[in-house]
This record gives sequence, C-alpha cells and structure tokens, in this order.
Amino acid sequence: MSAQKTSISRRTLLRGAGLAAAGTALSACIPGPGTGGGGSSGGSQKLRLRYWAWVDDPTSRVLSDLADRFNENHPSIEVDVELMPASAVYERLLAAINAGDPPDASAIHVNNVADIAAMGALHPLDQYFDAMPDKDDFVPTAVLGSRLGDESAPLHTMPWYGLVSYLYYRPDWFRDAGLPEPRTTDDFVSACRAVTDPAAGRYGYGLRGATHGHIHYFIWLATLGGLEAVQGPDGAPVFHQPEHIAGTDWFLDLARTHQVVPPTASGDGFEQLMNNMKAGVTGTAIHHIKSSETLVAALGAENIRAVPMPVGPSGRRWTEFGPSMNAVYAGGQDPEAAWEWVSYLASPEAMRIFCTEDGGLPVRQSVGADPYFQENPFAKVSIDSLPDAYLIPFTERPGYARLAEQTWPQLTQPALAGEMTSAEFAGRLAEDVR
Amino acid sequence: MSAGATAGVASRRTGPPAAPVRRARRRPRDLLLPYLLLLPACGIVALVVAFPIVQSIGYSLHHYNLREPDNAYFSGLDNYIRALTDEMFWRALRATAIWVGAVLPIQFVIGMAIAVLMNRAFPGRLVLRASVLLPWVVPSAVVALLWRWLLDGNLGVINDLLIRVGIIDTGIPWLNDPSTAMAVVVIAMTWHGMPFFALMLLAALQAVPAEMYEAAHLDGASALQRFRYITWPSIIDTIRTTTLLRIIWLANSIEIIWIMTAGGPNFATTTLPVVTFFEAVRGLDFGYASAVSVLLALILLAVVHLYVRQMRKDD
Repeated sequence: MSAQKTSISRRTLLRGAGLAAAGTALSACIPGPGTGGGGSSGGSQKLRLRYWAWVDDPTSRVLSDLADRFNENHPSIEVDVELMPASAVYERLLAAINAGDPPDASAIHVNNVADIAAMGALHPLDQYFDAMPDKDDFVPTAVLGSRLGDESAPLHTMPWYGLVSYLYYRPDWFRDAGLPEPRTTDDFVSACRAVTDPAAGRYGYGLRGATHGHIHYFIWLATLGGLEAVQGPDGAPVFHQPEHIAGTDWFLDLARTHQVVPPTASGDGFEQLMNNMKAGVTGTAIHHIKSSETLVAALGAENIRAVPMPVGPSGRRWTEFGPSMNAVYAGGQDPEAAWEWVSYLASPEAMRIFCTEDGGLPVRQSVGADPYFQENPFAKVSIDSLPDAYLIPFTERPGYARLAEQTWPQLTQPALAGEMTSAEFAGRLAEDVR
Repeated sequence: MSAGATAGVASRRTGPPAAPVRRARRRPRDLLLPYLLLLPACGIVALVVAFPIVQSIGYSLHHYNLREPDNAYFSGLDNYIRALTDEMFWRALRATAIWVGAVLPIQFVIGMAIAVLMNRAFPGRLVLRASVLLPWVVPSAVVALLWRWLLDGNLGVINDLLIRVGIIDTGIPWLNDPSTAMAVVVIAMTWHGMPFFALMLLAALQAVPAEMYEAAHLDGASALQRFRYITWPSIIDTIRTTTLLRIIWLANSIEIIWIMTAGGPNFATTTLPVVTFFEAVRGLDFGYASAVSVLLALILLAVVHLYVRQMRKDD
C-alpha cells in the first residue's frame, strides 16, 4: 500500500504521538537546574538556547557553571541547561522532534545518533568543525565516532568526551593466589578459575547479563577473533556463523564450563556489577573510568586496579570507545548559536573542567596530556587503551536497541545455563541487527 | 405551594378524583439547563478517556514508528495480525493470566484474614491497622526496588537468612531463574496490594449489624455458620467490586515486574503490559504497541463481561 496515497494527516498524527511519548518520557524526567524555557525571552534581545544533557551526579552544577561562563562571554545568547536521566534524553528527543519542537542542542548517546540523523533532525557540523584552527587536537577516534565510524559520513555531532572500557581487577585476590595481572585471555580465564570459590561467595568475573551487557560480549569476541569475527565488510553480523562461533563458546563457557561468574550473572546490570565488586563477590569486571572513584572509595586504592583489556590468542586487543557528543538540531532556533555553545563545551577549558568533575576522558590530546589525567591511573589505562578502542558494532542498525535491551537480557539466562546452544544464542542476537 | 396544588391535596383527602393537574409547560432553556451543566463533565471525560482510547485505536491501525516519522501510513489490521501470529504475544498472555491468577486469590485470602482480625477488638488494633496500610502507601517503584534488593542473589537479606538458618548452602538467584522469577514478583505484588483488600473488606465487615451476630449466637449458630450465613452475604458485593477492580489493575500493572525482572529471565515474566511498554517506549513502535494494548483491553472487557454475568447468575 502506498504511503503517499494513504497517509493520514501526518502532522496531526505526529504531534499527537509526540505528545503521548513525551507524557511517558516525562514521568522519568527530573527537572534540572536550568529553567528549560525556550525561545527568545520576552523582555530582552537575548537568544535563549535550550540544551538537554545528563550528568552522573544529578546534583552536580558543572554544566550550569559552564553555561554561566559561556553566557558571560556571549551577551546575545543565554543557554538554559536542562538535566535529565540519560535514559530519558533519547525518548524526549524523539518526542520533541516529532512534535516539531526540538531543543537547540543536546548531549546524545552514540547509539542514538543514527536514528536521529535518519530523521533529518541533525544540523551537520562539518563546515564549522573544518574551520576550527585546532581541529587536529581532537583524538581521531572521537571524530570518527561523531561520523559513526564512517570516514566519509558527515560530522553528525561535536565530540565532547569519551569513555574507554578496560578490566578492573582485585590485586589483593591476585596476590593471594600468586597470580600476575591478566595480560592475555588465557591469563584471564586461569586467574578467574583460581580466585573463584562459590562456597565463599567469590567469583572470578562479573559478567553483565542484563541490558547493554552485549557490549562486553562483543569486546571479548573482537578480542578473540578480531572485529572481522563479529561484523562483515558490509556491516552485517557474522559472529553467529559457524566459523566464528568459537568466540561465543568461549564467552558462554565462562559460566557453563569454568563457572567463574556469579549465578546471578544473567540478571546483573551495571548496578549489580559494581556492588558485586565492592562487596567482594567478583574479582574482575569490565567498565570504564567513571566507576573508578566509587570502587576506590569502597575497596581502597590498593585493592582495585585497572589494566587494558587482555589480548587474544592472535596478540590483538580490542575494546570499546564510547564517545559522548553534542548534537545541534536543524529545527532549533539558531544552529550557529547552538554550535557556539557545543564548540565551547569542546574547548580545552570546558573539557578539562567537565572531565575533571564528571569523570569522563578528554577527547583533546592537549587536555589528555594534562598531569591530572596522566597521573590518574585509571585515566592513564584509558588513554593507553585508546589505540585499540573502537565504536561498538551495529549501533547504526535499527534493531540495535532491541538487541541491547530485550534479546540480550532475556537470552543470557538460558545461554549461560547451557539450555541454549551458542549457535542459537548468537543467531538470535544477530537476527536483530541483520 | 400553589392554590391548584393545595386543591389537589384536599381532593385526594375528601372528594372524588379530581381532573389531572396540568403540568406547567417548561421553557426550552429549563430543558437544556441540565445538559449544559453536564457538559463540562462530559468534556473532561471525552478529553481524558474517550480521546486517548480513540487515538490508541487509530494508532493501532497505522504503521507508525517514531523512528520513521515520514513513513506513517494506514495499515489496516496488520498490527493485529502481527500480534496474533507472534508467539511472544501468546506467551505474554499466558504470563498475564498466571500473574493475575496467582496474585488475586492470594491477596484476597490474606486481605480477608487481616480484615476479620482487625474487625475484632484487641489491644494494639490501631497499631495493626496503621501497619497494614504501610505496603499500600509505599510507591510501587520503591516496593519493587525493596524486593529486588531483598531477593538479590549475591547480597540479598533473604538468601543470607536462609543460609544462616541452614536451609540453603549458597544464594539462590531468585530473580534470574525462570522457575522462581514469577513466584517472587507475585510475592512482591501480593505484599504491596494486600492492604487494599484488607481495608475494603474491613469497611464492609464493620457495616454488618452486630445484632445479627447476637441473634445468631443466641440461636446457637457456630462461628462458621455465622460467617457463612451473615458475614459472607453481607460483604459479597464489596468482594465482587474489589476483585473486579483488582483484576483490571493487575492485568494492567507493569512497574513491579519491569523494575524487578524487566520481563525476564527468558521472557518468564513478560506480561502484555511489558510487551506494550517495551514496544512503545523502547521500540518506539506506537502502532504495534497500541494494537497490543487494544487487544489487552478487549480481553479484559471479555473477562469483565463474563465475571459480571456470573455475578448476576449468582444473584
């Protein structure tokens, strides 16, 4: 049936659905310190820009303070920062774009950029970025992330900060077991087996079986067999194919054969992962620098360390680069003014302030060279891992959210329990992003 | 009182039947007034009830995904066919039936027992009444988080207690095992909703005249007979109303399941509202999500219809 012929009043439908989605999403939103008002202020000539973002600590004023600094130097612009939970940003964005009222700019997760770009809602930033005198200061991986991994794609967003996954481990456990820090995947499995003691409630590896744990799965698969064992040249999944299924076997065997993961692994998300590390339930876990502060506070600096992801049998290492970025919306009031704001956030001064306070990794080489980051052992491991850090595959595919938030968390239980074969498990995941 | 009316009254008392009194002709404005007064209420109902229902039905007949706003078109019954041919829909329907079928009777029995207990005079009754209310006033999201932590497989208090008393050796992953996940969300929901039954039934019990019990007691009726022949018939209408409401609420509820298990593991606790929520909020597929919710509403209507018909038969 032709969409053209049978389309109903699309604007009406979209506005209605947008409002409905906004209603749902709004229930999860926390008003931020900004006023959230849009449009030009009535009494002055200032352009009031709406900016949506999230920070880990909802009481943090770092973004509002940066907006104050920016506003002081830009008499004709006033940025209103509205903070909301990370999970709410995407839903609100879609609702707002559909309702024809997007913010002027927002922080955006890399997983959501492709969808928003496909809607034609993003204002391309190449012309502004290319005109920056210090554009070469940006870490190439971050710029590539803003192009969704495709050199020839437009610069959808402005790089802001990044997160690189690495392996946390308990040096006290390893020391007691006479183990060196895990450098290879074989070291890793041996160490996990050595420190696991179910009777004492201790397990070698904190496997994330709940939502978004697939990221760690893909990290291991690419470490073991290279990215070509995960994704084909055309971008389609290949990890489920017989010649690559050994990677999934290796991963599931951590539970099925070696039994080095807690029995709760299939339901463990980020919260449980961290609590298990802090409570001495697990000896290793994959995460990034943002959890270092809480782990050090709970365990003491001497009992928690980070190493780059272990290398696979081929000697290669592969880990995730999670870029955080800012988008400028084509439907906003003044994309050029919005660019002023997001480029300020990516300036050395603002990036240093934000990353120092919020815990992210700077994506400017000059800021990364700052002693603060070089002397922080977790930032150092992150920076050392950067050459092997890439975007997680398939994020640009429409079924990615389903894989991450439904198929993966639902199927890890039967897969880890051995009730589902590796081929079936991988096949069901691949189906979502085929 | 008018003269005519007075004459009418007098004639009823004393004389032969009088000619019918002619009603005063009402002006059109008076005839319209009640409807005008009802108009705001009708408008509000139309806005907050009828409009969303009509809109949901409309969405369910469209291919409409917020990710593809330029590709919205009328798709007829496609979304319904997709749902009815999807194994997940039927699994979710079964899970919904298990969820409602398990929570409802347990909540009712416990609520009834508490109501009967609270209907008696004993020291500390007021404290018990206040404490029974507690699970009801705690927000569902907090209840879910509370139970999730109590039941945590590694660090939960329940596992810890069971290990300490020697019932189990290692922690049980209550929420991560398909054989226990539904049971524990049922327990959490039972705890949360049981005061509703207790309070409603207590109110009904307190409306039963004490004289009836006294008379039955004098006639030698046993406690069971007093319950069967006095209490039960007196509160049956309340029971019917509360169970009907609870069926609808339970079939629509999502927050406890979503927060505790997100419908897992392996879809063991995926009920129809979970499917709707996921498709609408995560999948942004408003067309399909609307179709599933309309189907759930139709199933509920059928259940309610059967329930009401059975109630009438019993009467």
